[in-house]
Amino acid sequence: MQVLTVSTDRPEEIREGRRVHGLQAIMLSDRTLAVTDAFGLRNQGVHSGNPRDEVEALPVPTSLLVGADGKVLWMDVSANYQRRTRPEVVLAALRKHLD
Amino acid sequence: MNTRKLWNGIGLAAPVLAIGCTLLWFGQARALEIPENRALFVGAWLAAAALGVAALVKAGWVGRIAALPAIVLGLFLPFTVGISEQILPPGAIQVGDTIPAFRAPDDRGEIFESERLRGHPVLIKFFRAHW
Repeated sequence: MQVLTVSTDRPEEIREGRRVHGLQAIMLSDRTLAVTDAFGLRNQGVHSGNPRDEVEALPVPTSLLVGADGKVLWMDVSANYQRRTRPEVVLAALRKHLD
Repeated sequence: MNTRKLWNGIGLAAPVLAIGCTLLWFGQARALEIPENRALFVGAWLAAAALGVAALVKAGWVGRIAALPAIVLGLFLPFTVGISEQILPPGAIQVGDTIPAFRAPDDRGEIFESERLRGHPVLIKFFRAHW
């Protein structure tokens, strides 16, 4: 099972996060929001990012489980950025769709 | 004199409420337990701000100084709740859709091609940023 992350962080910021949190995922830097826009996940609400970060917008926090055929099996979208998907919710989705 | 003391007390209580509520909020954020309905938090912060404003007008200098952080926190945090709503554009990906092809640099600056995912299930996480 591969895990891939997409954020607007710069590669060096992602490297630091990988080091601090011991992450093994494929971690992509989407400064131009090209990947975010390809998935249609650019937040249309208020842009509340770090003003020094110089990105136009941010993705809506979203988890997607994609099958081997490339189809989305399950997804969870945050209605507000202050609430995140709990790990057990993601694990339950993995068990349900991949077992 | 007694009224001044009472308002100083209110000026001192306001930041305790604002800071206590803020610490609880970040504790819950860390545990991924921010409640769906955040009205209680917003109410408590606004109450702290209102007490702070009242103390700013009526209290002595002790109460006035103490009231300032209550006003700042009590207004700023409800503001962040207000702007936190996330809105997807029309045409956002849905369950059953095939994911688009994409390419982007990874954390070593090497270009990752989505072609590499073919034939494997993958969990994709879009998140806001590291801060």
